[in-house]
Amino acid sequence: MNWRKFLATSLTAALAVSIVAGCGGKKEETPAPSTPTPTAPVEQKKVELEFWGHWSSEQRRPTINKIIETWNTKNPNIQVKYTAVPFDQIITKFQAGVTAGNAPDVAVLDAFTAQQRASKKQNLDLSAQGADAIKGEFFAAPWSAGTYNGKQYSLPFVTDTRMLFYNKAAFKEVGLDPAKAPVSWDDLWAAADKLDKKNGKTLERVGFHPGNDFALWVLNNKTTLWNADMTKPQVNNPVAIETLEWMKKWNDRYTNEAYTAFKATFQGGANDAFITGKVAMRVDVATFAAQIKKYAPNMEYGMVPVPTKDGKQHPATSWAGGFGIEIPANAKNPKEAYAFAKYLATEAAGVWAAEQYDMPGWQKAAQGINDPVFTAMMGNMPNTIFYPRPLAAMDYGTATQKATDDVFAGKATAKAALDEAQKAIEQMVKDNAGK
Amino acid sequence: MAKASSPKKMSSMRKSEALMGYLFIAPWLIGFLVFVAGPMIFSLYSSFTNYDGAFTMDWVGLSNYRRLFTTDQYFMISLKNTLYFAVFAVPIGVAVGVVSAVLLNQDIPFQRFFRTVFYLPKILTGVAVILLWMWVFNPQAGIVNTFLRFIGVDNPPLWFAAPEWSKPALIIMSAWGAAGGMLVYLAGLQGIPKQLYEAAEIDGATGARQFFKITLPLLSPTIFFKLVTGINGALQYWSTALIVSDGGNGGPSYSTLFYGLRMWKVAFTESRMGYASAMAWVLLFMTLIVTAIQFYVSNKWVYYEGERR
Repeated sequence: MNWRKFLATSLTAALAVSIVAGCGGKKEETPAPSTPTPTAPVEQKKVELEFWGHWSSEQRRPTINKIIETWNTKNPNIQVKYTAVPFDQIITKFQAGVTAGNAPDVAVLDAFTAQQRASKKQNLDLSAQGADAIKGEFFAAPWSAGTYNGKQYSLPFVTDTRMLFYNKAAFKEVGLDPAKAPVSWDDLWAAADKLDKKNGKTLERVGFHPGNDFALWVLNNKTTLWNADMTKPQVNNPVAIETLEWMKKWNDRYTNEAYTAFKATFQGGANDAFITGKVAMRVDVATFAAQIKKYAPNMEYGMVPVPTKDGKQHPATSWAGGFGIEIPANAKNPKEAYAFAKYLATEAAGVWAAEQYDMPGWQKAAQGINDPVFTAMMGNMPNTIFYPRPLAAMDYGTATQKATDDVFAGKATAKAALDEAQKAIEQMVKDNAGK
Repeated sequence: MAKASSPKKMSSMRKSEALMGYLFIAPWLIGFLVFVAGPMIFSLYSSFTNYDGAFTMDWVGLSNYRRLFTTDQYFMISLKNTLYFAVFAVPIGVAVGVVSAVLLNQDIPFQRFFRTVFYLPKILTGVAVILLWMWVFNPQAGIVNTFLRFIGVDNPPLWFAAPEWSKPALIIMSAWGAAGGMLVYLAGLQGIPKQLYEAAEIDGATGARQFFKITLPLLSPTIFFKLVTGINGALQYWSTALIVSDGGNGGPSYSTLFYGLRMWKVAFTESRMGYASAMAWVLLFMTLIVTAIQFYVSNKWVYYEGERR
């Protein structure tokens, strides 16, 4: 076992020396000398939990410290210590830690890979700890991100939802009614007809562009790129082809060359293309509203559900991502770790949401915030789906992105490109299943 | 130690000396065994398994290697991209390095200042520099295309956003960094005896002739060294593509899907560590073969004073 542990730990080093495994701190389990309050709901021994997140910035740190202090004061027998691990390393380190037996007790990790870790028996089955009892308290989309084979492996911490942002001032400028937001794909097209502004070949203002989130627009168009149990790709189904053709129509509207050049000038922060008025309508995470508030507090904009083909909302109009709370499969103190995880997912998520303007996965936390943006986000959650990455081909996005690249550049028709992607993904599925 | 080979018993002083010697190299030795040799052996072993980075590790024999060479749809694509990059980036890098070293070896005012400036790319590395280059190559607002438009090019390239221009852009980027490699050439230039140039000048050789007949031949061992290390580096090139391509997917249209990027995706996105290890070992062997060929060919052009190697 030790030999195996050693070898397992070293492989990570072989591939990337910088992420040499087993960097997690050591946990100490020291029995408390004597507990003054025998009525405490926890066991008599004192437990120290190691908690990993990727928040280290000046903006994030105070909130996470506050959350942990609150817990530590209330639970003298379960003391939590927070470690910030860089975002690009946290998953690898967590996995290496699980293999080596020194993973953190609780970690906040990307929701899109939770099921992958569950399938590899890296994270703890939280249903066994009683997680199913609190299922109803969370939004359905982020909750589903942590479900694998009917069991829960991750509790939602924060999530998000996409909405259409539109520039009301630009609407007024071109004679569109700012109170009438686009609800269908045709509405977007008609509005863009008025909003587009060109100077020779250079684009000055783009009315709307769906971007290259192909998989997500397919959901919006009421179908999926995978079969129901996510085992077989169907990326060249007729609706998907239609969706890609629709995206190409938008790209052609501006020409590939001009739009690519235009897109490359996009920046962040105060120079965001929507904030500076270069893009009049855009689908973005709802919390983008916070950025507008920060950099352009007087901007006149609207925030509405993502338009659909027929103008009617359905359960997969918009899409969610987010972060979930996980416990390693070989946790030494699963009970205590779960107690803290539950606190993080519920009460603490409320504190986080209020201070950091993130959408919590816990419904009550979102309801507690009196803010128009949160109200809009809450209203959009029933139309929001969490579409997991298929374990059969986690990297299938590489192939679909090639398809959108080729179609946008005019190198292939939507059907030809998606037929090619379908073949490539089928091969990936085979490779992943192969021994 | 050395009990059988030496007829006499080792004196206690020699013994303690040997022990001290080992003690002194111990930090390096332990570091090598634990952090290099150990992981390499483990990686070799896992390349014959379906290791997933966690608890699965079943022996699969040569299956990973067989699939890599037969059914892997990205093997050839990524290999071609990598070779394309290496074939252009390495010679250009060497040329840039040699030329800048020769220029900076001239006795001119502010020589030290220029040396510092040209060495800067070696100090400035990482994501910040890549992001800077993305602005240099920005199709609309970048200085490259602004210049091209100025001299009358109507449709300048989209660089990182066009499959046929993304690799040239990366090669130009690496050439910029290669100027920082001039330090090694500069050292090589300093080692060339001055009297050779003096004699050539008396005989009436032009500057260009001196460069090709004296400088290059005497610099050839240095060039050879940079060529070998440069090709090794180019074959492992990948992280820039991760940042430059949309979503790190090696786009547009797979044009920046380098062998190393593909390996990283297999290991860390798909969690197929065993397969990725096989990829790593295949890359190592390809590098060894290329290096062996270089050593063989080097007999023809690398000049070592006085002896033929």
